[in-house]
This record gives sequence, structure tokens and C-alpha cells, in this order.
Amino acid sequence: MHESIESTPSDGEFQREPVPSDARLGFKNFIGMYAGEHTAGTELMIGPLFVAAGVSATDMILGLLFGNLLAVLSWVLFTAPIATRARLTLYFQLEKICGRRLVVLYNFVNGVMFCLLAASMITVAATAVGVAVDISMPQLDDVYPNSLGWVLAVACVGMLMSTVAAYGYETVSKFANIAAPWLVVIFLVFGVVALRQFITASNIEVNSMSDLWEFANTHIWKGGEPLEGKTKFTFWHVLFFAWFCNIAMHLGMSDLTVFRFARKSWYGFATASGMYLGHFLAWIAASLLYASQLFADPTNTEVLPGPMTHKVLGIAGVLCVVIAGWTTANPTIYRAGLAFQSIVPSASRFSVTIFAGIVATIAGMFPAIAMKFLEFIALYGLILMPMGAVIFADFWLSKRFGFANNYAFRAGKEFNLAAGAAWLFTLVICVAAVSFGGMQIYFVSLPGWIIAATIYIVGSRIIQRNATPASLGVVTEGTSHS
Amino acid sequence: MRILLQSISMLALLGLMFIAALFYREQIDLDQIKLITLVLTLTWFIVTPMWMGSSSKTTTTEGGSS
Repeated sequence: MHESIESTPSDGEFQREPVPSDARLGFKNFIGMYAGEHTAGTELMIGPLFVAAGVSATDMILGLLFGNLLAVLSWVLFTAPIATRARLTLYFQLEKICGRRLVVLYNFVNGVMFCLLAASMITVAATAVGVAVDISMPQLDDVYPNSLGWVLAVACVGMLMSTVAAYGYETVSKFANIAAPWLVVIFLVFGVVALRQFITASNIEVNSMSDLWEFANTHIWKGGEPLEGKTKFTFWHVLFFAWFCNIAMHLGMSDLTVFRFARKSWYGFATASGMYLGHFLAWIAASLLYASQLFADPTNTEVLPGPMTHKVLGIAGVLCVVIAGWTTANPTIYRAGLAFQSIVPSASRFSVTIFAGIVATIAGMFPAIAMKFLEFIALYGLILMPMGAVIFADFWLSKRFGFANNYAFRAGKEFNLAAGAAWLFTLVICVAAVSFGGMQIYFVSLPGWIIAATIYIVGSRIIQRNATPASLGVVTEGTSHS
Repeated sequence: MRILLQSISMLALLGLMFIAALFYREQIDLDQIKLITLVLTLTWFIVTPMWMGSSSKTTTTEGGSS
């Protein structure tokens, strides 16, 4: 899971101006950044939850291959072309389209979602405590904290992470860069070790790729019924989850802030490093850990990355959980703080980061977020996605449909009603489709994105019907994408 | 010196993959792989900061690399 955009080179610069040509970066920068960011602590939750969802081997492998391909193409075809033309941060571009007040609201929602995301990372890291201390750990279907020991473990881990994020963000950020290549390799290593242990324990001969495929079908991703309380996953579930688990970043346009530094829009292909290392190999490796655990004891349905990795790699496995959780929670908490600070500019960076950390820590005590992480990620994308559709429609379709782009900027508005309506009504329609229409949350974002773009276009036509081109500063064709 | 440090870091990562392959082929046991993994992990985290810090500042903060 992509945790944030903290590693963006020179992220603090050019907040309200296009990135100049001498600050642009080469392809390699983006490969390393995406590979590191998408091999995060939360991958250790996602892999096992696929197994718990009763996915079959064919559905898992093909779903991930095609879903990740669609995610990469979304960055290449939707995010990067706008980023490399406008070269603005998401927030500034949104401000020009939507107005300051709507961006503040977006920031608040974004901050809350970042806190919940960080909560799941804190939960993952806190499971490592269970290896050293005998505490009652949360079960797969737990919603509330199940023991005082667990609450204390999360509180200690969460507050430690929050304090470090507030005081030493830069240090941890550098440490994250150092850890990233190791994390990619260590995920691969524990996947191989878990596979060997699993094969040995099952007493089955695996001497060829066809044997391995047979083993995957009969022991790892067996298909059939999901574990109690889990949604049954098919090929389409895996495909849409892999595609949309980062929808906030690609179709939701958060990564405009990243790709504004790219020299060429095809650098979007660099995201393949994160998708196929993190969201393919790492998810498969984490799946193996859990499938092996279920084989050894079918009643042990706990998804606890700490104990699982300790079993296969000992202390190095526990380090993997702590480092993967810590290095990804750190920027997420920091980013949540930044989002809140934009709402209360007078608050210090330290206080907003600590505030975000406290919220994330309290949320992390509730295992429901981590144990229902697939659903949470789908919800996270759904909530932020409509604003990406607004940006897309504003950038590419405004001329064709006869309305001025960057309306808030041109008209001096604080709140663009068309964008606000697109966001609100899309969410209402999508939530209604899930709650009352029987549509699963994994599938609602695609139609939701199209609905958001449509509402924005229609809404813009309506609110701009009385405006003259001159009053909006639309003088020549060249101003359309300014 | 820098090349030496980079080589050690690279060997630590390659070593991790190599011992995973050895374990898969049942050439080493679980206790051995746990110990070697820990040693190689420590090697990576001790040696890599000695060279990666200065490199990343040049290439990712200021940009320009291709």
C-alpha cells in the first residue's frame, strides 16, 4: 500500500508554482521511490487477508498481474500527463479549481484517512511486541481492543512513532531510504522460507514448476469458502483491489505532487516497480506466511505479522515488521499533521503531528481497521477518488464541454459548488449503491469516478452559464490549461 | 572506499537471496538461516548508511540524475 508522498524529491519546494525544468528528475528516482513506498508494513496484512478471503491461485496470480497493470496504466495515462503539463501540487491545483474552502475540507478528510492508515501500520508494528511479551493479541474478527496488554503495546509503539515523526521526521525518512532495498529483499526471503517450510510440513514432493502450481492450488490459495466474516474473493475482486488500492494516488491524482518532478509523462511506468515488487511479490510472500500458519493449525486464524515473520526468520523477521511499519507510519503521521496544519495554519508542525499521532494511536488500538484492511483501503480510495475525477475533467474536458477551467481561481471563489457537488453526490451515490444496492465496495470506485466527472462537467456548465469568457479571464485558447 | 562499502551492501542483499535459495534446497536448516539473515541484516544497516546518505542527497533531493 502506498502510504504517502513523503519521499517526493524536494517535496517542500514549489508548493505554489510549477516545478522549473532544472528541478526535474530522471526515471531512476521514481523507480526507487515507488519500489520502497509500496513495500510497506501493510503488505503483511493484505497478503494474509487474500488467503482469508478464499481466493484461488489462478484468481490471485492473474488478478494481481492485470490489476497492477491497470494501476500502472492509470498513473501513466491519467496522473503523469497532467502532472508533467501543469507541474503543480495536488493541493494547489485543487485550490485553483475548487477554491480554498473546499481544499480545506479535502485536507481534513485526507488527514483523517491518513490517521486511519497510520493506525493500521501502528497495529502491524505492535504485533511485534507480542513476540517478546506474552499479551493477548487481537483475533481476525475483533473490532475492539481485547486486552490491556494490547492497548499498552499499541500506545507505546504509537506514541514512540508519533514523537519521532514530530521530532525526527527527516532522520526516519533517511532511514526509510536505507531500509527500502533491504525490505524488498527480506519480503522475498521470508516468502521463500515460508514456502519451503510449508512444503516440508505438508509432506508433498515439489520438484517442478507444475508441482509448485499444483501445490499453490491445493494448499496456498485453495479457493472455496472464505473464513468466517470475510468476503469471498474472485478474480474480479483481486483485480479491482490491486487496481484501486492506490486509486487515491492515481485516478485520485494525489501523485500529481510526485510526478510534477518527472521530465516525461512516461515516467509513470516507474510505478511498476512498486506494483510488482510490493503489490505482487510482497503480497504473495505474506500470503504464504498465513497459508502456512493455517495449514499447521486451521483454528489459528490470527493475522499477526510479528509472530508470523518471527516463526520463519526469527529476529530479522521481527525487525522487518517493526521497520516496515515504522518507516511507513512515520511519513503518514507527518502527512496527516500537514493536512491538519493547513486547516489551522497557526498550529505548530510539532503539535499537529503529535495530534495526528494520538488519533492514529487510539485508532490503532481497534484491530478492526487492520483486520478489515481490504475494506478500509477500498473506502479510503472511494472517499478521495472523486476529486481526481474533478481534476481530470477540468484539465482535459473543460474546453470540449464549454466551461472555464480553474474556475475558483478565475472567478475568485472560495468554494466551487460544481466540485463540491461532484464530491458529495458521488459519495452519496456510491455509499447508497453499497449499502442498499448490494454492490460490493471493491467495485464502486470505477463507476463513481465517471459519475464524479459527469457531475462536475454538468455542474460547471450550470454555474458558469451566466459568466462571460472575459469575466473568467478566458481570452485565448492558450489560457485553457494555465 | 565507497565502492568497497557499496560492494559489501550489495553482497549482503545478494547473500540474503542466496541463503533463501539454499534453505529452499534444504542445504541449511531453519536456525542457520535465522542467524545468517540477522547477520546480513545487521551488515546492511551498518554499512549502507556510510555511503547511501551522501548519494541520496545528490540524486534525489537536488535531482538531475537520469
